[in-house]
Amino acid sequence: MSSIIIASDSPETGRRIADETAKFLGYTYMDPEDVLSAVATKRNLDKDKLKKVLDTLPSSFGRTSRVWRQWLAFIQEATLGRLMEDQMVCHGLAAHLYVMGVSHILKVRIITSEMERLQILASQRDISADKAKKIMKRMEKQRHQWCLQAFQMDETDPSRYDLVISLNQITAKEAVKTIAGVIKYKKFKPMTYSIKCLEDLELESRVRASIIKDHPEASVTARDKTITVKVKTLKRERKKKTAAIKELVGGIDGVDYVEVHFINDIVRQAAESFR
Amino acid sequence: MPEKLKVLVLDDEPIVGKRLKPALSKIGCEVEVFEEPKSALTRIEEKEFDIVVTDIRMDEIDGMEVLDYVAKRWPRTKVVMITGYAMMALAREAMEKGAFDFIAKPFKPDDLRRVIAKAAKALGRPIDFDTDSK
Amino acid sequence: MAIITISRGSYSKGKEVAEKVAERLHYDCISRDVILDTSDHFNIPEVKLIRAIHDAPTLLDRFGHDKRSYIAYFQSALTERVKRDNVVYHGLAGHLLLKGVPHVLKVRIISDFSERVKAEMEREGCHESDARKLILKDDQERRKWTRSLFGADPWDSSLYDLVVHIHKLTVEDAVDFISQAACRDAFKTTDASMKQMEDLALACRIKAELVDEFFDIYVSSDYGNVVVYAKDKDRSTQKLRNRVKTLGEKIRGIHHIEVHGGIPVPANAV
Repeated sequence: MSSIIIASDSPETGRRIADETAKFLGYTYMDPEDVLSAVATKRNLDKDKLKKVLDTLPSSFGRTSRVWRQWLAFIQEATLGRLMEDQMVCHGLAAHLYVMGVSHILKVRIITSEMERLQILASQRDISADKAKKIMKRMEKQRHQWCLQAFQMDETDPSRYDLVISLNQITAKEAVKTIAGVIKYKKFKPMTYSIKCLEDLELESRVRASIIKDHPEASVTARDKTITVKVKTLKRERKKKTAAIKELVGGIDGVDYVEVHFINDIVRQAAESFR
Repeated sequence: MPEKLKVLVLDDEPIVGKRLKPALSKIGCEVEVFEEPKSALTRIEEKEFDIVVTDIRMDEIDGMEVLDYVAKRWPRTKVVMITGYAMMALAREAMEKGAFDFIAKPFKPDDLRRVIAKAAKALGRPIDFDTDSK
Repeated sequence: MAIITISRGSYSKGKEVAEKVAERLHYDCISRDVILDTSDHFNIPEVKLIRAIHDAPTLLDRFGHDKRSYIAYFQSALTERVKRDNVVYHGLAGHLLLKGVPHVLKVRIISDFSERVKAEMEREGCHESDARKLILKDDQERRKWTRSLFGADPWDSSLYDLVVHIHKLTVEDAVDFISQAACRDAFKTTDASMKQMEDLALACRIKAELVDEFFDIYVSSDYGNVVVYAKDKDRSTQKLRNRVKTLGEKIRGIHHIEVHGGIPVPANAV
């Protein structure tokens, strides 16, 4: 069955709409806390630190950007895994930035009035409206940077979504009803093709999560259980790298065949030729 | 003996029909293969098929038109769209128009058999194929 | 009932959506005829008006005030027309020109770039690269225009109540959403919102009347109590005061009118 991804400029509002939509439709609300707990347990990580990956830039994360990318890949893997289940409503795991081209997943962005966001921020931090405004501007800028660094995307671009609803005049209840009405359209019915697209994305994320530590620069694509891994390497290292990647990936559940493609590492090649 | 499931396969690439006919006959379907959309439509006009499998991108008449035609002429018939140019927008358009399923090429014969079995079940005439394996 | 504004890029099927929504709700559908109204009413050539409200202001225009005058005329014609209610307006900046009126449902229709290019190629019979260039130029002009006159980017979703991605959904879906949303309580015309709309139309009418002689003014109206805001309190303010006194005879609906100079302009002023 279909699923819904909700993104919002206000995490609190996004969560509320996602939760209410799930209740309205009888779908499962994919609580980000549960997903993060599962990742933390599986990977033996500190959950609070893991959570920070979702709103902190690598520069202020306190660990290397390599670790930041790894942990992000783990979250992605877990989220996509949950989206394989039926009738999910997902929010707060940045799924709108990495779940692409799956026709049975409806993507909605909820926009909250600036006033409401300011009020939430001021009451959460017990600060004045002026200070809240300054902090909010900084947070918006940081969020924009985060999206670019994590997925090279602008999340405010409306063309990323099926629907954008502003809560300036439309109430939350009405927005929920609209989303619930849209998901019933036949076009959001899962089909062999859309299920395959989601399976490919999920497998891709699992493979990526399992090789990212050893091959952080590798790009992974999955199609029909065939995995293509592209890595930068020197000519003389190709054989060794192919064997290592095939060993890592070949055993992953759902993988039938592994192809390793190489891109010449011109920088390392040039550096070595000057030695 | 239960009546065989009547299936029409339309694809302008001859290899597709050649591969699919034996694959579907194997699970008890009575298959008619067409490469020309016009002659397929003439056949659809005179005979009610249980399932129509059609390519989308073809010269003269495309699969979406075939879908519209079948939906009007035989509303009970399940239409399965196959295409080598799968995209989300096209998939959604086909589903909105009432397609039963949408498959991207290339696919394995088992993938189509699974869809046919699903359609047969929806028609209330289940055939012996494991539809829950996926 | 409500007023619906639909903002769109070229070839985004926004016009089709607007017409179908109007048909479904039995509303009037307007766009270009507002321009015609304006050009008749203020006696300016239609071509000049179209250019003024489409092309981005050039450097020279920014220092002159032709363009601002035309916008004032346009806004006056638009508000005059839509205050009768039950209307769908598709065209430039409706959401900005009718800002602040509660029963205005602001919608933006977007479409995939490749689809728009295809439509332009079909209509103009041109090559893909030319179609691409034309659409990019048109988008750029529209964005520049809105930014320079209103300080807002038409692509900013937060300016709208609904943004519908037409390629991912369909024209029919968009028509459904918009029609349903327009019938929601939030967009229903009430006595108070109708009064607000009339006040906006009155303020726009007064600004259009004065803008040629007094370029840098703002006008607000509350229940027909009109305030004209001048930038500074100087000699020209007196001239403005004298001019304003004559308006009561020409424009209906003014209960009281006064001029203020050098004070902050409220958000509802035009």
